[in-house]
Amino acid sequence: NEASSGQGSADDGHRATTVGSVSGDSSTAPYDDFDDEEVFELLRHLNDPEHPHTLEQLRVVQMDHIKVDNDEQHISVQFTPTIPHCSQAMLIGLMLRVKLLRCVPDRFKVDVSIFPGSHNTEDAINKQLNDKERVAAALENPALLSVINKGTAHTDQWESVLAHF
Amino acid sequence: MSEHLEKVATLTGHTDRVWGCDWRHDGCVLATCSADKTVRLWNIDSSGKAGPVRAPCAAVLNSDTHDRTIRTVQFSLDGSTIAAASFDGRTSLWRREEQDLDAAPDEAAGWRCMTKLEGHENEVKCAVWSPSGESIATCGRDKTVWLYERVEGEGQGGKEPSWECAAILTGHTQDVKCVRWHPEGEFLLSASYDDTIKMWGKVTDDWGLLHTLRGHTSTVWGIAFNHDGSHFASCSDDRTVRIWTRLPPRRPPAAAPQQQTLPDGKGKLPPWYLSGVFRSAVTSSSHTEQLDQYLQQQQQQQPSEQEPQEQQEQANGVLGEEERVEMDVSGWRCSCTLQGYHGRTIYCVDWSKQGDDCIATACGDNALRVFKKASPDATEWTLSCMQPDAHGTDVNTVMWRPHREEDGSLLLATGGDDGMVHLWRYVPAADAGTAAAATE
Repeated sequence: NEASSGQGSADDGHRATTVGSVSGDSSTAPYDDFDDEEVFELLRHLNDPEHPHTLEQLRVVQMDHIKVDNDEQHISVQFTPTIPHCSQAMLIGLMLRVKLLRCVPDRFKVDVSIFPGSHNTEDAINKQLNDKERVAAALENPALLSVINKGTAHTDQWESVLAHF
Repeated sequence: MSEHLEKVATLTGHTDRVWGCDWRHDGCVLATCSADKTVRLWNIDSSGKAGPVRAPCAAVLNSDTHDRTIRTVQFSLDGSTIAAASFDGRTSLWRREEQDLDAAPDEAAGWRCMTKLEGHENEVKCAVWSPSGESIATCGRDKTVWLYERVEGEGQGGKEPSWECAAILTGHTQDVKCVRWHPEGEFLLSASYDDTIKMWGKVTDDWGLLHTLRGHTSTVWGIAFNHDGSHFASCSDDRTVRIWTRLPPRRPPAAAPQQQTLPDGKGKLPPWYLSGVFRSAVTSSSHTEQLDQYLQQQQQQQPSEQEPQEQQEQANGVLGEEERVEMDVSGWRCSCTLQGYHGRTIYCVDWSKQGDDCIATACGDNALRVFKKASPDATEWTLSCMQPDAHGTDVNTVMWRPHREEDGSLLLATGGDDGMVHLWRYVPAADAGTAAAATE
C-alpha cells in the first residue's frame, strides 16, 4: 500500500496526475492516508542550496517537525535553518513548498514554516512562504525556478520506501 | 425553502489556477483569468428560473500578449474594453473589433489587445477602471499604485485613445494586492501585504495619501464597496472580514466655522468640505472658484483665531499624515468584524450590487460563504449560507452577477486553484426573496 501510494506521486509531480483523484466524490472514493513518514520521505533528499548535503543530513528537515492530519487534510512542515541568520532560509522554504506542491494531492492544505525560534526573521519568512501569490510569482521566475529544480532534482529515492517491505 | 446555495454551472477550459473573474455590466458575459496566461469569456444564458445555466466559452484571449499569470480582469463600465493585469508587469487593454467579424473566426472572437499599460517594475496584481472610464488604477509588487489617464489619440480621430501615467502613489511598505475605486470615483482604496488599507485622493491638484486604515493583522487581500459607497468590506490572511462604515462628517475642534454658508447661498459649508478629497469631488469649476474665494475669506477673516496654522493648512489642503488621521476627515470606521467563520486566508470578497447587503467570500478553506446583515438597520452581520467544498482547492475569486434573477435569486461566479469556474445560485430566505422580487 505504501509503495503504491508512493508511486502515484513519484513521477516528479505533474499536478495533472493528482487532480483526477480529487474531483471524485469523497464519500465514494476513499483516499489513501498519508503519514508523516511519507512526507518526510519526499523531503529528506532535497539538496541544500549551499552545501553538498541533503536537508536531512543538515537536520533542516526532521521527522518530528512534520505533521500530517488526514482528517483535516492538512500537512504542516517546520524546518530548521542551519544558523539563525541563514540567508538561504527563504529558498529552502520555497524548495520544500514546491516539492510538496508537486507531490502531494491538491486536497491537502500545506503550511511550511520555520521551526519557532530558529531564525532571526522567521515571521517575515513565514508570511512570504505562505503567500501563494508571491510563491506563484516566484515560480514564474526562470532563474529562481532553475535553482529550485536543481535542489529538488533526483530527490525521490524510492529504494528507501521499498525497504519497508 | 430556506436560503441556500446551489451550483448551476461548471465552466471548464482553464488549464491552471483561476485567479480572477468579472461580470460585464449586463451580466451576460463573464470574464475569467488564470495562471494559464489567458482570459476566457463565457456567455451566460440564464433563464432567470431555477435550474442549470448555460455558459459556453465565447472567446479565449491570449495570443502572445502575456507570458506570465494574468491576475485580474475587469470590464470597463460600458463593457467595450477589458483590462487584464499580469505578473509580467503590464496591463493589457482588449477591445472587440466589429469589422473583424468578417475575418476568419478565431478563438479570440475578434478581441484584440489594443494597448499595454507599462510602468510597474514587476508583477501587476490588480487593475481597475474608474467609474468614469477615463482612468485606470493598477497596483503591484513594487509597492506602488499607478494611475493612468486616457488621452485622446493625437490628431487621429477614431483611433484608439492612448493612456498616460497621471500619478504614482507611494506609501505602502509592501506589495499592494488590490485596488478599488469608490463607486463615485471620489477616491481610491488599496489593500496590501503590509496589513493596511490606504485611501488615496486628490490633495489640491495632485493625488496623494489621505488615510491609512489599520485593523487587519495580516495581508489584506481584497476590498469591495457596497452599491452606494457608504460601506466597504475587506478580507485578509488574518481570516477575518471587516466591514467599514463611513461616519457622518465630524466637526473639527475649536476653530471650525460654525454657521458659514456656501458663497452661492445654497447651504451650509460643512467643515470637512475643506479637505482635499471633498474639494476634488466638486466638478463645477464655478463652484470651485467660489469655494476658493470662500477659503481666502476664511483666511483673511480669521487670521488670529485659535490654531491659525491648522486653519491655513486645511485651507491649503496640505496636512501631515498624523493630522489627517486625527481629523478623520472622511470618517471611516470598522463597524463589524466577521471572525471565526473562515478556516484559512480569505482571498476575495464581493458585495452584491442590488443594495440588499449580501457579502460573499472566497476562502483558502475551499468554501464559498454568503453573509447578510442581521437586520436591515443592524451593524451586525451573520452567516447566511456556506458551501463547504465549493472547489476542490482554494477559492480565489468570487463575484456577484450584477442583476437579480427573475425569481429573486442571485447568481455568483467563483474560480479556484483547480482551474474551475463555478456558477452558483444564491436563494435568499423565502420572505426576503419574494419581497425583493416583488419590489422590482
